[in-house]
Amino acid sequence: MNEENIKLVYNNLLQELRRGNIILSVLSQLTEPQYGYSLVVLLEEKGISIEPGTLYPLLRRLEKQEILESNWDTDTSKPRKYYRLSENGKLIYKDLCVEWFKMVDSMDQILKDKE
Amino acid sequence: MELINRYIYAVTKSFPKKQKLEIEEELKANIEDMIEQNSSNYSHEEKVKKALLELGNPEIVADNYRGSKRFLIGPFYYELYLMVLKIVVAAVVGGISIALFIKSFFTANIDIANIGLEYLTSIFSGAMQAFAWTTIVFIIIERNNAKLRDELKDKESWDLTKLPLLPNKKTQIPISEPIAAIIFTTIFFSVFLGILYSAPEAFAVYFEKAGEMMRIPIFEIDVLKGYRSWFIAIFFLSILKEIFSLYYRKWNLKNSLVSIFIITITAILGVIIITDNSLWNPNFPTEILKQIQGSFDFPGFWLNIRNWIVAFFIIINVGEILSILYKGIYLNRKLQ
Repeated sequence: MNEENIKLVYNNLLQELRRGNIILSVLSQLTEPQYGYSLVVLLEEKGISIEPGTLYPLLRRLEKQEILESNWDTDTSKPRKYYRLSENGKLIYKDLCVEWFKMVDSMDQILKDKE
Repeated sequence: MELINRYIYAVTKSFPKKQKLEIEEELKANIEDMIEQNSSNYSHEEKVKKALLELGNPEIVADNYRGSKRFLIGPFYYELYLMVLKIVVAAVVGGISIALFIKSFFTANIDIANIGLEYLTSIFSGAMQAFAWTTIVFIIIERNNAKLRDELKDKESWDLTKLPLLPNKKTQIPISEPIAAIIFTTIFFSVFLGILYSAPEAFAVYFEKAGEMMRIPIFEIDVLKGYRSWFIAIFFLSILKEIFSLYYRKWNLKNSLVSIFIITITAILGVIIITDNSLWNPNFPTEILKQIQGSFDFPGFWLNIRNWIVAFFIIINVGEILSILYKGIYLNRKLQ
């Protein structure tokens, strides 16, 4: 494998790794209502970079699964669609967090054992 | 503003109307936010470009909205599609070659340049037809089964009873069977249609009388030509049947039922064509009788032959249906 290939494979794997965490990081920020772009900025500030082209469709899909609920804010001059966790979403998010910490513990164990 | 509209159109163009409006509205608001909150000194136009580039390829964004990729012919059937395509195109080319070879016997002055040109154009249009129709058949299969697969995934959970039975020799279909059937069917129909259109005089009985060739046509060629779309329908149904066998490689219930259904339809179409009295040259028996000069009742014999052809055709099709019934239904039930 030449250097370029190694880089390509590495980038693909890194993307896979990040992809799995996107949903949880999005849910974590939606106890308060956010609109699409404000969520991109918010996550960026916390060190999680997510492409807008991925995030906007994801919000819509999560809404369809009834994890998120949305409403259009038309009070301001510019209408915006705000998303936040639904009641079901909050329960699911809580359970996912429990799983997440378990997983982090196990992964830490496995990876540190090898060092 | 035009760039933004073009971008939104590129993302939403393939969505149904209601979804389209929703996505448009939301995407537009988001893009405007991205532009507004870009506090750099760039011009408005530069900011628009930057925002759209950040969103990336509209096709990928559309796929993200859809949540699934769309295929004309998906990875599930692609291998099978390529295989059938190669076989059908090769068989069409072979069939047309044979048809033109036969035609050259009925052409008085053979002009190599003309025949060569005709050969090339026939092969080109024949191969294109084969390609188009095979592709259409597979697109239909993909459309129907993609939906089916999604539904199955949603509704049913997998358990051990869903494991397929180990293949039983008696219900298995060796791959050579459908491939041979596709080749044979394609060659038969391309030779038949090729002769019908380029050398219909071949469907005749020839007599030599006093050094002169006499020709007595068996069919009314115009009536035969009128059945063109029927022949093509029978051809594609037969190919479809073999595609199912290639896909399942065994006589399971589904493949058996589809095959029986298709054989029934093609057999009925075939019987209707053969029993059409206007198809046969009415003067054929009397003309022949004149040539053989005897007390032999040729017209009666000829009618018998025609009836026997119908009977033979029906027996073959019924036989095939019974054999599939036995393998597909009786044997499978016994094995369970």
